[in-house]
Amino acid sequence: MSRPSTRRVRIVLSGRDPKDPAAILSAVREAFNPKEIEITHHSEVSAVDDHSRVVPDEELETKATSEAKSALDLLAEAAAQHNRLKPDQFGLVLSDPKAILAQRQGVLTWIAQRLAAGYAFTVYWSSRGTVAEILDRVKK
Amino acid sequence: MQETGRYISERAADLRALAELPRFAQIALAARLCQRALSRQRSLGLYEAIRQLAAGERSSSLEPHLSDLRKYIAELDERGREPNDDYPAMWRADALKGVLQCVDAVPMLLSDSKERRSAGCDEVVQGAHRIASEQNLTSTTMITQHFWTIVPLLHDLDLLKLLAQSEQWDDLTPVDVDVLGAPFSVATYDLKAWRDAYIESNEPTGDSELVIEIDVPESATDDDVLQTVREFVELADGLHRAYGGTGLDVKTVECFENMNVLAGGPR
Repeated sequence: MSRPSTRRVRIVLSGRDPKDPAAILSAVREAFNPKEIEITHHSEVSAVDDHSRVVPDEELETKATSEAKSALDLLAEAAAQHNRLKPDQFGLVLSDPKAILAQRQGVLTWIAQRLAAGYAFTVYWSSRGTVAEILDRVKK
Repeated sequence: MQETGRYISERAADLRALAELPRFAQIALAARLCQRALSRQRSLGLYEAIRQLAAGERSSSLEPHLSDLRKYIAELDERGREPNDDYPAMWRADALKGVLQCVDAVPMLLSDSKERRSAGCDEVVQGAHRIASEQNLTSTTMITQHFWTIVPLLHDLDLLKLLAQSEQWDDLTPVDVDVLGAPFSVATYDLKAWRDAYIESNEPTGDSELVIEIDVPESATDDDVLQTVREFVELADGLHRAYGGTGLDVKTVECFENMNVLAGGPR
Protein backbone atom coordinates (compact mmCIF):
# COMPACT_ATOMS: atom_id res chain seq x y z
CA MET A 1 0.00 0.00 0.00
CA SER A 2 1.48 3.33 -1.01
CA ARG A 3 0.34 6.78 -0.07
CA PRO A 4 1.87 10.22 0.18
CA SER A 5 3.15 11.45 3.50
CA THR A 6 4.26 14.97 4.20
CA ARG A 7 6.27 14.43 7.35
CA ARG A 8 8.35 11.89 9.17
CA VAL A 9 9.51 12.05 12.79
CA ARG A 10 12.50 10.00 13.93
CA ILE A 11 12.84 9.53 17.69
CA VAL A 12 15.93 7.98 19.24
CA LEU A 13 15.66 6.74 22.82
CA SER A 14 18.17 5.16 25.16
CA GLY A 15 18.03 3.82 28.70
CA ARG A 16 18.14 6.50 31.38
CA ASP A 17 20.59 4.35 33.28
CA PRO A 18 23.28 2.81 31.02
CA LYS A 19 23.59 -0.06 33.49
CA ASP A 20 20.06 -1.29 32.73
CA PRO A 21 20.21 -4.58 30.83
CA ALA A 22 19.98 -4.09 27.07
CA ALA A 23 17.35 -6.85 27.04
CA ILE A 24 14.86 -4.44 28.60
CA LEU A 25 15.21 -1.98 25.73
CA SER A 26 14.92 -4.92 23.38
CA ALA A 27 11.66 -5.95 25.05
CA VAL A 28 10.30 -2.44 24.46
CA ARG A 29 11.33 -2.69 20.81
CA GLU A 30 9.51 -6.02 20.54
CA ALA A 31 6.30 -4.50 21.91
CA PHE A 32 6.38 -1.71 19.32
CA ASN A 33 6.85 -4.24 16.55
CA PRO A 34 3.83 -6.48 17.15
CA LYS A 35 3.30 -9.64 15.16
CA GLU A 36 -0.27 -8.70 14.35
CA ILE A 37 0.66 -5.52 12.52
CA GLU A 38 2.85 -4.99 9.51
CA ILE A 39 4.78 -1.87 10.41
CA THR A 40 6.70 -0.74 7.30
CA HIS A 41 9.45 -1.78 4.98
CA HIS A 42 12.66 -1.14 6.88
CA SER A 43 14.60 -0.30 3.73
CA GLU A 44 12.38 2.74 3.31
CA VAL A 45 14.42 4.50 5.97
CA SER A 46 16.96 5.38 3.31
CA ALA A 47 14.31 7.45 1.55
CA VAL A 48 14.58 10.02 4.31
CA ASP A 49 18.22 10.64 3.61
CA ASP A 50 18.26 10.12 -0.15
CA HIS A 51 15.22 12.05 -1.23
CA SER A 52 16.22 15.36 -2.70
CA ARG A 53 13.07 17.16 -1.55
CA VAL A 54 13.46 16.21 2.10
CA VAL A 55 14.04 19.15 4.40
CA PRO A 56 14.29 19.23 8.18
CA ASP A 57 11.48 21.01 10.00
CA GLU A 58 13.60 22.61 12.69
CA GLU A 59 10.82 24.44 14.44
CA LEU A 60 8.76 21.30 14.91
CA GLU A 61 11.92 19.39 15.80
CA THR A 62 12.68 21.77 18.68
CA LYS A 63 9.13 21.57 19.97
CA ALA A 64 8.98 17.78 19.68
CA THR A 65 12.32 17.34 21.45
CA SER A 66 11.19 19.55 24.29
CA GLU A 67 7.83 17.74 24.50
CA ALA A 68 9.49 14.32 24.65
CA LYS A 69 12.15 15.35 27.16
CA SER A 70 9.72 17.03 29.52
CA ALA A 71 7.33 14.05 29.38
CA LEU A 72 10.15 11.65 30.28
CA ASP A 73 11.57 13.93 32.98
CA LEU A 74 8.16 14.11 34.63
CA LEU A 75 7.84 10.32 34.55
CA ALA A 76 11.34 9.92 35.99
CA GLU A 77 10.51 12.33 38.79
CA ALA A 78 7.31 10.48 39.62
CA ALA A 79 9.07 7.11 39.51
CA ALA A 80 11.82 8.35 41.81
CA GLN A 81 9.16 8.97 44.44
CA HIS A 82 7.46 5.61 44.57
CA ASN A 83 7.57 3.40 41.50
CA ARG A 84 10.87 1.57 41.84
CA LEU A 85 10.53 -2.21 41.97
CA LYS A 86 11.51 -3.67 45.34
CA PRO A 87 13.28 -6.99 45.99
CA ASP A 88 10.96 -9.87 46.83
CA GLN A 89 11.24 -12.04 49.92
CA PHE A 90 14.23 -13.85 48.44
CA GLY A 91 16.08 -10.73 47.30
CA LEU A 92 15.14 -10.94 43.63
CA VAL A 93 13.81 -7.90 41.85
CA LEU A 94 11.20 -9.30 39.52
CA SER A 95 8.85 -7.32 37.34
CA ASP A 96 5.12 -7.91 37.57
CA PRO A 97 3.87 -9.87 34.55
CA LYS A 98 0.43 -8.24 34.88
CA ALA A 99 1.98 -4.75 34.75
CA ILE A 100 3.97 -5.75 31.66
CA LEU A 101 0.84 -7.11 30.02
CA ALA A 102 -1.13 -3.94 30.79
CA GLN A 103 1.62 -1.75 29.33
CA ARG A 104 1.92 -3.92 26.22
CA GLN A 105 -1.83 -3.76 25.69
CA GLY A 106 -1.58 0.03 25.93
CA VAL A 107 1.11 0.01 23.26
CA LEU A 108 -0.93 -2.25 20.95
CA THR A 109 -4.04 -0.13 21.33
CA TRP A 110 -2.06 3.05 20.64
CA ILE A 111 -0.42 1.60 17.54
CA ALA A 112 -3.76 0.36 16.21
CA GLN A 113 -5.36 3.77 16.77
CA ARG A 114 -2.50 5.60 15.10
CA LEU A 115 -2.46 3.26 12.13
CA ALA A 116 -6.20 3.79 11.72
CA ALA A 117 -5.56 7.54 11.74
CA GLY A 118 -3.08 7.17 8.88
CA TYR A 119 0.24 7.07 10.73
CA ALA A 120 2.91 4.48 9.90
CA PHE A 121 5.84 3.22 11.95
CA THR A 122 9.29 1.76 11.53
CA VAL A 123 11.13 0.41 14.57
CA TYR A 124 14.84 -0.26 14.97
CA TRP A 125 16.89 -1.38 17.89
CA SER A 126 20.55 -2.07 18.36
CA SER A 127 22.41 -3.43 21.35
CA ARG A 128 25.67 -2.25 19.87
CA GLY A 129 26.18 0.91 17.91
CA THR A 130 24.39 4.11 17.22
CA VAL A 131 21.50 5.08 14.99
CA ALA A 132 23.85 6.30 12.30
CA GLU A 133 25.41 2.82 12.18
CA ILE A 134 22.01 1.13 12.06
CA LEU A 135 20.87 3.33 9.21
CA ASP A 136 24.12 2.69 7.43
CA ARG A 137 23.56 -1.08 7.73
CA VAL A 138 19.98 -0.75 6.49
CA LYS A 139 21.12 1.17 3.41
CA LYS A 140 23.59 -1.56 2.49
CA MET B 1 12.18 -23.41 57.21
CA GLN B 2 9.34 -25.91 56.89
CA GLU B 3 7.18 -23.18 55.42
CA THR B 4 9.90 -22.28 52.93
CA GLY B 5 10.23 -25.93 51.93
CA ARG B 6 6.49 -26.09 51.27
CA TYR B 7 6.68 -22.90 49.20
CA ILE B 8 9.49 -24.40 47.14
CA SER B 9 7.71 -27.64 46.39
CA GLU B 10 4.51 -25.83 45.51
CA ARG B 11 6.27 -23.44 43.15
CA ALA B 12 8.35 -26.22 41.63
CA ALA B 13 5.11 -28.07 40.88
CA ASP B 14 3.89 -24.93 39.11
CA LEU B 15 6.50 -25.55 36.44
CA ARG B 16 4.27 -28.29 35.08
CA ALA B 17 2.09 -25.49 33.67
CA LEU B 18 4.68 -25.41 30.88
CA ALA B 19 2.53 -28.07 29.19
CA GLU B 20 -0.32 -25.56 28.86
CA LEU B 21 1.70 -23.09 26.79
CA PRO B 22 1.59 -22.95 22.99
CA ARG B 23 4.49 -24.67 21.24
CA PHE B 24 6.79 -21.73 20.55
CA ALA B 25 6.27 -20.29 24.01
CA GLN B 26 7.48 -23.64 25.41
CA ILE B 27 10.59 -23.39 23.25
CA ALA B 28 11.11 -19.76 24.33
CA LEU B 29 11.13 -20.96 27.92
CA ALA B 30 13.72 -23.63 27.11
CA ALA B 31 15.83 -20.91 25.43
CA ARG B 32 15.56 -18.79 28.52
CA LEU B 33 16.71 -21.62 30.74
CA CYS B 34 19.79 -22.12 28.57
CA GLN B 35 20.45 -18.40 28.49
CA ARG B 36 20.54 -18.29 32.27
CA ALA B 37 22.30 -21.56 32.93
CA LEU B 38 25.24 -21.18 30.58
CA SER B 39 27.94 -18.56 30.64
CA ARG B 40 27.65 -16.01 27.89
CA GLN B 41 30.65 -17.40 26.05
CA ARG B 42 29.24 -20.91 25.90
CA SER B 43 25.58 -20.07 25.52
CA LEU B 44 25.68 -17.58 22.71
CA GLY B 45 25.41 -19.94 19.76
CA LEU B 46 23.16 -22.46 21.46
CA TYR B 47 20.85 -19.84 22.91
CA GLU B 48 20.61 -18.03 19.59
CA ALA B 49 19.75 -21.29 17.81
CA ILE B 50 16.93 -22.12 20.25
CA ARG B 51 15.76 -18.53 20.18
CA GLN B 52 15.47 -18.70 16.39
CA LEU B 53 13.45 -21.90 16.64
CA ALA B 54 11.11 -20.16 19.10
CA ALA B 55 10.76 -17.39 16.53
CA GLY B 56 9.53 -20.01 14.07
CA GLU B 57 12.71 -20.34 12.01
CA ARG B 58 12.76 -24.04 11.36
CA SER B 59 16.06 -23.91 9.49
CA SER B 60 17.95 -23.20 12.72
CA SER B 61 20.02 -26.19 13.84
CA LEU B 62 21.08 -27.00 17.38
CA GLU B 63 23.61 -29.71 16.62
CA PRO B 64 26.65 -27.57 15.67
CA HIS B 65 26.47 -25.79 19.02
CA LEU B 66 25.92 -28.92 21.06
CA SER B 67 29.24 -30.55 20.27
CA ASP B 68 31.13 -27.77 22.08
CA LEU B 69 28.89 -28.15 25.13
CA ARG B 70 29.22 -31.95 25.16
CA LYS B 71 32.99 -31.62 24.98
CA TYR B 72 33.01 -29.20 27.89
CA ILE B 73 30.82 -31.52 29.96
CA ALA B 74 33.21 -34.41 29.26
CA GLU B 75 36.14 -32.25 30.45
CA LEU B 76 34.29 -31.41 33.66
CA ASP B 77 33.36 -35.05 34.20
CA GLU B 78 37.02 -35.95 33.80
CA ARG B 79 38.10 -33.31 36.31
CA GLY B 80 35.45 -34.53 38.73
CA ARG B 81 36.88 -38.06 38.58
CA GLU B 82 40.40 -36.94 39.45
CA PRO B 83 41.72 -37.63 42.97
CA ASN B 84 41.60 -33.96 44.01
CA ASP B 85 37.82 -34.26 44.42
CA ASP B 86 36.81 -31.35 42.22
CA TYR B 87 33.20 -31.36 43.37
CA PRO B 88 32.21 -28.03 41.76
CA ALA B 89 33.31 -29.48 38.40
CA MET B 90 31.12 -32.54 39.01
CA TRP B 91 28.14 -30.40 39.97
CA ARG B 92 28.67 -28.09 37.04
CA ALA B 93 28.82 -31.07 34.70
CA ASP B 94 25.53 -32.34 36.09
CA ALA B 95 23.90 -28.93 35.71
CA LEU B 96 25.08 -28.74 32.11
CA LYS B 97 23.58 -32.16 31.52
CA GLY B 98 20.34 -30.51 32.66
CA VAL B 99 20.88 -27.93 29.93
CA LEU B 100 21.43 -30.73 27.41
CA GLN B 101 18.18 -32.29 28.59
CA CYS B 102 16.37 -29.02 27.83
CA VAL B 103 18.00 -28.71 24.43
CA ASP B 104 17.17 -32.33 23.57
CA ALA B 105 13.57 -31.52 24.45
CA VAL B 106 13.30 -28.84 21.75
CA PRO B 107 12.78 -31.23 18.79
CA MET B 108 10.18 -33.02 20.92
CA LEU B 109 8.36 -29.73 21.48
CA LEU B 110 8.37 -29.14 17.74
CA SER B 111 6.77 -32.52 17.14
CA ASP B 112 3.14 -32.86 16.06
CA SER B 113 2.68 -35.81 18.41
CA LYS B 114 0.90 -34.83 21.61
CA GLU B 115 2.73 -37.52 23.58
CA ARG B 116 6.11 -36.41 22.33
CA ARG B 117 5.40 -32.80 23.18
CA SER B 118 4.25 -33.77 26.63
CA ALA B 119 7.45 -35.78 27.10
CA GLY B 120 9.41 -32.73 25.88
CA CYS B 121 7.80 -30.58 28.58
CA ASP B 122 8.74 -33.15 31.21
CA GLU B 123 12.34 -33.09 29.97
CA VAL B 124 12.52 -29.28 30.26
CA VAL B 125 11.12 -29.39 33.81
CA GLN B 126 13.54 -32.14 34.83
CA GLY B 127 16.40 -30.24 33.21
CA ALA B 128 15.45 -27.11 35.16
CA HIS B 129 15.51 -29.03 38.44
CA ARG B 130 18.86 -30.55 37.56
CA ILE B 131 20.29 -27.10 36.84
CA ALA B 132 18.83 -25.79 40.09
CA SER B 133 20.42 -28.64 42.03
CA GLU B 134 23.90 -27.30 41.31
CA GLN B 135 23.01 -24.10 43.09
CA ASN B 136 21.61 -26.12 45.92
CA LEU B 137 24.93 -27.89 46.35
CA THR B 138 27.09 -24.80 46.02
CA SER B 139 25.17 -22.64 48.45
CA THR B 140 24.46 -22.76 52.15
CA THR B 141 20.67 -22.88 52.08
CA MET B 142 18.37 -25.09 50.06
CA ILE B 143 16.14 -22.25 48.97
CA THR B 144 18.88 -20.55 46.96
CA GLN B 145 18.19 -22.80 43.98
CA HIS B 146 14.90 -20.98 43.66
CA PHE B 147 16.50 -17.57 43.74
CA TRP B 148 18.44 -18.36 40.62
CA THR B 149 16.58 -20.85 38.50
CA ILE B 150 13.08 -21.81 39.49
CA VAL B 151 11.67 -18.44 40.58
CA PRO B 152 12.87 -16.50 37.50
CA LEU B 153 11.70 -19.36 35.29
CA LEU B 154 8.26 -19.30 36.88
CA HIS B 155 8.23 -15.56 36.36
CA ASP B 156 8.84 -16.12 32.64
CA LEU B 157 6.19 -18.83 32.61
CA ASP B 158 3.63 -16.49 34.21
CA LEU B 159 4.38 -13.77 31.66
CA LEU B 160 4.18 -16.19 28.72
CA LYS B 161 0.86 -17.56 29.99
CA LEU B 162 -0.60 -14.07 30.29
CA LEU B 163 0.66 -12.99 26.88
CA ALA B 164 -0.49 -16.20 25.20
CA GLN B 165 -3.96 -15.74 26.62
CA SER B 166 -4.23 -12.02 26.01
CA GLU B 167 -2.69 -11.97 22.54
CA GLN B 168 -4.38 -15.26 21.56
CA TRP B 169 -1.23 -17.17 20.67
CA ASP B 170 -1.63 -20.64 19.26
CA ASP B 171 0.82 -23.40 18.32
CA LEU B 172 1.73 -21.53 15.15
CA THR B 173 2.47 -18.18 16.82
CA PRO B 174 6.23 -17.49 16.82
CA VAL B 175 7.62 -16.05 20.05
CA ASP B 176 10.43 -13.51 20.26
CA VAL B 177 12.32 -14.33 23.47
CA ASP B 178 12.95 -10.59 23.86
CA VAL B 179 9.37 -10.32 25.04
CA LEU B 180 10.55 -11.72 28.39
CA GLY B 181 12.87 -8.80 29.12
CA ALA B 182 16.12 -9.09 31.04
CA PRO B 183 17.11 -12.66 31.97
CA PHE B 184 17.97 -11.69 35.48
CA SER B 185 17.19 -8.94 37.94
CA VAL B 186 19.36 -7.66 40.71
CA ALA B 187 19.69 -10.05 43.62
CA THR B 188 21.22 -9.49 46.98
CA TYR B 189 22.83 -12.88 47.44
CA ASP B 190 26.47 -13.52 46.78
CA LEU B 191 26.68 -16.83 44.95
CA LYS B 192 29.65 -15.98 42.88
CA ALA B 193 29.60 -18.50 40.05
CA TRP B 194 25.92 -18.18 39.37
CA ARG B 195 25.83 -14.48 39.84
CA ASP B 196 28.64 -14.07 37.33
CA ALA B 197 26.87 -16.26 34.81
CA TYR B 198 23.72 -14.20 35.20
CA ILE B 199 25.49 -10.90 34.96
CA GLU B 200 27.28 -12.08 31.83
CA SER B 201 23.91 -12.66 30.25
CA ASN B 202 22.83 -9.16 31.26
CA GLU B 203 24.77 -7.04 28.91
CA PRO B 204 24.40 -3.42 30.01
CA THR B 205 22.43 -1.08 27.78
CA GLY B 206 25.44 1.16 27.17
CA ASP B 207 25.07 2.72 23.73
CA SER B 208 21.94 0.75 22.81
CA GLU B 209 19.25 2.75 21.13
CA LEU B 210 15.62 2.30 20.29
CA VAL B 211 14.65 4.15 17.13
CA ILE B 212 11.14 4.73 15.87
CA GLU B 213 10.21 6.55 12.70
CA ILE B 214 6.69 7.84 12.47
CA ASP B 215 5.21 8.80 9.11
CA VAL B 216 2.65 11.48 9.79
CA PRO B 217 -0.50 11.68 7.64
CA GLU B 218 -1.13 14.84 5.67
CA SER B 219 -4.14 15.75 7.76
CA ALA B 220 -2.16 15.86 11.04
CA THR B 221 -1.40 19.25 12.60
CA ASP B 222 1.76 20.18 14.50
CA ASP B 223 -0.14 19.65 17.74
CA ASP B 224 -1.11 16.13 16.58
CA VAL B 225 2.55 15.38 15.91
CA LEU B 226 3.61 16.64 19.34
CA GLN B 227 0.87 14.60 20.99
CA THR B 228 1.98 11.49 19.09
CA VAL B 229 5.59 12.01 20.14
CA ARG B 230 4.60 12.52 23.78
CA GLU B 231 2.34 9.47 23.83
CA PHE B 232 5.00 7.31 22.22
CA VAL B 233 7.73 8.22 24.69
CA GLU B 234 5.35 7.84 27.64
CA LEU B 235 4.28 4.38 26.51
CA ALA B 236 7.85 3.27 25.81
CA ASP B 237 9.02 4.59 29.17
CA GLY B 238 6.14 2.91 31.04
CA LEU B 239 6.92 -0.42 29.41
CA HIS B 240 10.64 -0.05 30.15
CA ARG B 241 9.85 0.50 33.82
CA ALA B 242 7.36 -2.40 33.90
CA TYR B 243 10.18 -4.67 32.73
CA GLY B 244 12.30 -3.47 35.64
CA GLY B 245 14.26 -0.70 33.90
CA THR B 246 14.84 2.83 35.11
CA GLY B 247 13.05 4.44 32.20
CA LEU B 248 14.15 6.12 29.00
CA ASP B 249 15.85 9.27 27.85
CA VAL B 250 15.54 11.13 24.55
CA LYS B 251 18.71 11.24 22.50
CA THR B 252 17.33 13.02 19.46
CA VAL B 253 14.08 13.90 17.76
CA GLU B 254 14.26 14.77 14.07
CA CYS B 255 11.43 15.97 11.85
CA PHE B 256 11.49 15.87 8.04
CA GLU B 257 9.10 17.30 5.49
CA ASN B 258 7.88 16.48 1.98
CA MET B 259 8.48 12.93 0.86
CA ASN B 260 6.71 9.87 -0.39
CA VAL B 261 6.92 6.68 1.66
CA LEU B 262 5.41 3.27 1.79
CA ALA B 263 3.00 2.95 4.65
CA GLY B 264 2.10 -0.13 6.67
CA GLY B 265 -1.26 -1.10 8.02
CA PRO B 266 -3.16 -3.96 9.55
CA ARG B 267 -2.65 -7.25 7.67
